[in-house]
Amino acid sequence: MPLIELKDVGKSFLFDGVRKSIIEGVSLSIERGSIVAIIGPSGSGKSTLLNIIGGLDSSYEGEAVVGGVRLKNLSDKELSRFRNEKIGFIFQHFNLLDHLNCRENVSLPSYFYHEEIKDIEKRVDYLFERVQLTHRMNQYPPTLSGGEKQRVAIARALLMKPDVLLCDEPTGDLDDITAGAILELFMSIKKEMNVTFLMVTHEERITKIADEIYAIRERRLVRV
Amino acid sequence: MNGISALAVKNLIRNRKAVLLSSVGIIFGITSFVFFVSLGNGIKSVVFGKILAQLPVNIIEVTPKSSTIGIFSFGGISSSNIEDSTAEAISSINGVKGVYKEVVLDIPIQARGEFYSRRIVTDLAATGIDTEIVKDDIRKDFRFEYNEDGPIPVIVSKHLLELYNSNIAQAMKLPRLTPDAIIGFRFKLVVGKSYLAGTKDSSKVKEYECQLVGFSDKAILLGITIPIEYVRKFKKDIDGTGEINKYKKLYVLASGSQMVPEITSEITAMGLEIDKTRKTIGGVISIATLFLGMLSILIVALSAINISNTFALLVYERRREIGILRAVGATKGNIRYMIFFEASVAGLINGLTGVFAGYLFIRLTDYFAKSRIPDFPYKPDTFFEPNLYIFLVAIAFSVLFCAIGALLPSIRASRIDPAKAITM
Repeated sequence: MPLIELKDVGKSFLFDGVRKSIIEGVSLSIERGSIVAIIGPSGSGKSTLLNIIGGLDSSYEGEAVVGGVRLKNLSDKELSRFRNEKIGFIFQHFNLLDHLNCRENVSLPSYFYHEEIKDIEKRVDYLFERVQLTHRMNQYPPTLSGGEKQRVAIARALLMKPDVLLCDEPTGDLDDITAGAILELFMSIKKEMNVTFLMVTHEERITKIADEIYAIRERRLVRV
Repeated sequence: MNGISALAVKNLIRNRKAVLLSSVGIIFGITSFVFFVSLGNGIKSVVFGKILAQLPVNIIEVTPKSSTIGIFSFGGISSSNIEDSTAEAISSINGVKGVYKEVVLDIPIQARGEFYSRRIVTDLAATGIDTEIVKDDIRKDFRFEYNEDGPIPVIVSKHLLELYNSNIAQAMKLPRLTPDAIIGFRFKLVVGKSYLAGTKDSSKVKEYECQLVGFSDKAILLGITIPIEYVRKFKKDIDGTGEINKYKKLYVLASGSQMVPEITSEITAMGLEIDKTRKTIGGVISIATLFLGMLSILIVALSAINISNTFALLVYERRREIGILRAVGATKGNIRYMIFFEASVAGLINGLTGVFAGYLFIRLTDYFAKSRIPDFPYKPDTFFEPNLYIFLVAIAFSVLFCAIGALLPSIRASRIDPAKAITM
């Protein structure tokens, strides 16, 4: 059974009284442990697709099933729990909270878990070791470089042992060397944790590590 | 503290300046609340504890009905009196153990005497009273009853001594007195003569020796109270009648406190008034305290609008952050709780600050009152009676109104679309 399955997914919105479509008839099937890249120009609907799969956007047509969870018609509580337990988000601009130190940023998803996680401190320590930032654990994000910030964001995304990491332009704000290091980290994480990566990007280098590549053309998803 | 609460506290620390600015009104309101309610308590305590000393619960004070127009009472200048027949009717009410009379001496009198080497002559007001009703107020070794030979026993109001000590003694550079120091004091009473009323018939003017034998709440405030028999005697000497059949006041002794309501309603039905001084004063103080307390709460309530505006602005500024929290698994309820908790902690801090400021203000006021305000009757050591209950209520109000202020912003925060917010 595929980990992510989209059937005829579409998203539109009303603009000046006219319904405008962003994506149409998107069907997709992604197996566990794979790296999938979706490419397309800005505004093509890549992030919209990611938001639908990540349970951030529930007003769409069609059907989305992720990790066995049918996302349509889930309550806010159920969707939040789904995001907390099954999904890890990695953003282009890192989206760390500047008033929390790195450790607190990484621990953030555990605050919203429905019960106490006993080994949370151990998990956090391990993830900092894994992203090689143990020495920066108590620093605040504004003191970190772009690459370091993204590694903290990766650690946060992995904390709840998600099935899927949804990455929106994960190397978009990084220089070539740092971006390369982040992609290497993705590869080793995939190998170690069997996590599925779904990345939206317009960068060619990401497509080089992807098992499958899709593109959004004319609002439709096509395999490249 | 759970993670969300810790997060809320960190947010509060981060936004402390904005929250503090919007909290000024709340702190001011809480300070006023603590100040005024403690003041009301303190005044009540002085009035009831010192001024209106507890009357026995089974004694009912009966006065003639006063004429009133709205809030203006003319009872004080009314010349109406209680008839003898009325007093008799009251004594026959079931449960009445005794009826004791008080009468105004309507003959001019003067007091003369030496007081700390000063010769004092003054007109006086006097009342006569049934001796039985004040027997507990008479000092040991003295008697308060009619006698042909000895000095006339006199009692004065407990409040008169306080008035003397706080005003007269200071103004005339005389020593302050304790009840023990003045008991037994003797002076001359000239009956039939006064500066104000003049002398109708100088041949009838007589001089008597008087002696202070006690202090009583039932004695006239500015004057002397003597056994009622002397009033009869003086009237006989001056008017030749010696008849008393109208009274200023009656003290009705009930056989038990449980009989008081029944007797009271019967007396009221006879067109007489029951002395409601304590009830009225207590009511006035309570209403004043309530009014000032409510005013303070109104300040706090209005200040909640500031809190609301501040939190609305903070929520607006933190849309992206709220989007991130939603992305990592925060429910709408988690977001509402976080904003609510922030506001409640702010309310708690505001409440504690307000209580502290109020207490400080109380102590400062007391300090200045002690050192700057001249003595006056019953000037207390403190004008305030703060207590833990007032503090807790004040803090609860602060938390409540801050939480109410954050209600709309928290709902708005929970409705932020995370998909849009994270891209901001």
